[in-house]
Amino acid sequence: MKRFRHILYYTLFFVFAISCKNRGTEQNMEKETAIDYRQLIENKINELRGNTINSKITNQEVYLGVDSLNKTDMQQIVTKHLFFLYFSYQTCSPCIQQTVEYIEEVFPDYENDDRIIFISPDYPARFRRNCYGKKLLTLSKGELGIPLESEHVPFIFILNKNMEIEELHIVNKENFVKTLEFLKKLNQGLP
Amino acid sequence: MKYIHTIRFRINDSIFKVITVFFVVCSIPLFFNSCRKKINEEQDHPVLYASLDEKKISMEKLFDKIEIIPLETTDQSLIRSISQYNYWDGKHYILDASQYILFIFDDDGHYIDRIARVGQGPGEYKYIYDFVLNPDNGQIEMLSPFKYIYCYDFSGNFIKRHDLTYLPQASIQRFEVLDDQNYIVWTSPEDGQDAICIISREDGKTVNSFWQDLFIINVWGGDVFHACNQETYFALPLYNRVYKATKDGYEIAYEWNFGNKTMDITKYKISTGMYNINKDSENLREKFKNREISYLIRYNFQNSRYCYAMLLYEMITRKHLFYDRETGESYFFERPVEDVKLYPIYFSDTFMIGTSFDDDKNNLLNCALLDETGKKKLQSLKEDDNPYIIKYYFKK
Repeated sequence: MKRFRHILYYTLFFVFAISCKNRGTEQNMEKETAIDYRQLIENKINELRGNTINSKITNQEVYLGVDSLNKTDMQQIVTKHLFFLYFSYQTCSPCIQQTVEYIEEVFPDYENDDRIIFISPDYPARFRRNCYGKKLLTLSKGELGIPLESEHVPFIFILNKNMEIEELHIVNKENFVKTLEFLKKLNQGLP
Repeated sequence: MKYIHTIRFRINDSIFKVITVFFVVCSIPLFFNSCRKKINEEQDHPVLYASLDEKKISMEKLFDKIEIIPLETTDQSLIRSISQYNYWDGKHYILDASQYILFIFDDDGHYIDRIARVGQGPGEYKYIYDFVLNPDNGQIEMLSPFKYIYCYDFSGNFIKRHDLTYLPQASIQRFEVLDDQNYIVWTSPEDGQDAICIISREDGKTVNSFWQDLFIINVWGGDVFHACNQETYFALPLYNRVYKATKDGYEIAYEWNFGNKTMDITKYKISTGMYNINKDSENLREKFKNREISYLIRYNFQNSRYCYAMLLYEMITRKHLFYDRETGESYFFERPVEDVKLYPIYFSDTFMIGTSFDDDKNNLLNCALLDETGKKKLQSLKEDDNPYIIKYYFKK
């Protein structure tokens, strides 16, 4: 009986010691998994970027704000010297807000800067005249025609004369700094 | 030999005494930790038996009439979306958390004023997630997730700021008035932290805290609080219980029982740890989408007559449950026979307020509960007008 008790005590102590060790190991594994997840997001963004770069967007009639009497073809307004910020009504507001703040930091007069155009086909119509300081570009077809739109993430892009996406930056809320860096590079390239 | 055996036995005896004491000492904190600050968890509480078999219900079963309240559209009053709502003294208070602006409209929807103090100066804020009205001291109190509560008078003048950054939780997501001396706040707790804190309205100090649960359960908390008859309640989407909160803790106010359709989230392995929250959330969303888990309870409201729950199926489809406390009858439907979309955001004893949907106008125009004045208002609305809200008057 006494021997059995001895064995029981030793076993309990051993199990307790193992569980303490494992708990530390589990927490480390959890933290590693969190870091892996950020890498997963980064990989996903790179994949989306890879699939979208050089895509052609649908040419269509467009107009700024509610000025539907002054429609024009999108192809006519596209030059190498402007960029578009696209966001959806379903995009989280802090993400849009932060992106616009960075645009303002790099382009202080962005509200009046014709080189910068905001697009959001599903934003409420009442915001067409003023959405984060800019008139929204209204698309007659209601979409650009690229799969990236369904991800509901903000992205910045430049089109060439063939309506192909030449430059693209997808905003990653896990790494906003990259958006600022991209905008600064854009600023150097825009006349 | 016997002597050696005796010595060995005595040494072993001492070691075992040490180990025993060690186990007892280590067990004491576990024992206390497992006792939440709860009251009456296991005592009797009302159970609301309701069927989740959908019924064809007319709105006339629940409401006497409905009223359209267009929210005036001006450059100062453009609403992107209605995040939080409250009603007091004949005015509608609407928080658009995407713009961090609190709008105030009169009973007919005419724009009165707004609080839009976005910035970094005194009395200014970066983000606002929630607000409460405090008629006792004439204040509107607005919650920043960065753990500040900003207090303004009803004219929008800044009064003071409660600094709650001493709280260890990462952020505060929602709050409500608990009583004339305290707020109740819902935080983003990490493992081992309390999700709910009771905060003094006078000095911003913590009076009490409670509620520990799996990280993912807490993260999916959402709009946990609602008020009814000056009591504050909270409920989480993944549980069937509604709790009444007090300064000392909480007790079960009532529990939903849907028979064999009652969901028990504890049956599912939904948590793999705090650091996997994004993956866990994704997995949980998939379980809802493919119906492995049937529903979550998005909102709870109540008044003296009804208990209400909005159930969300497959993360998309909203279904409504009204439980009549007087008769014990329940009404469960996605849409009433009038085919109108419901989205309640406020309950009082007299009426319910709901948001509107752009594609629902025709159904409302055909609804017998809407009078001619309401139909004219609806028909005069334009595409770029502010959203309108709908007031549903409960049957007396």
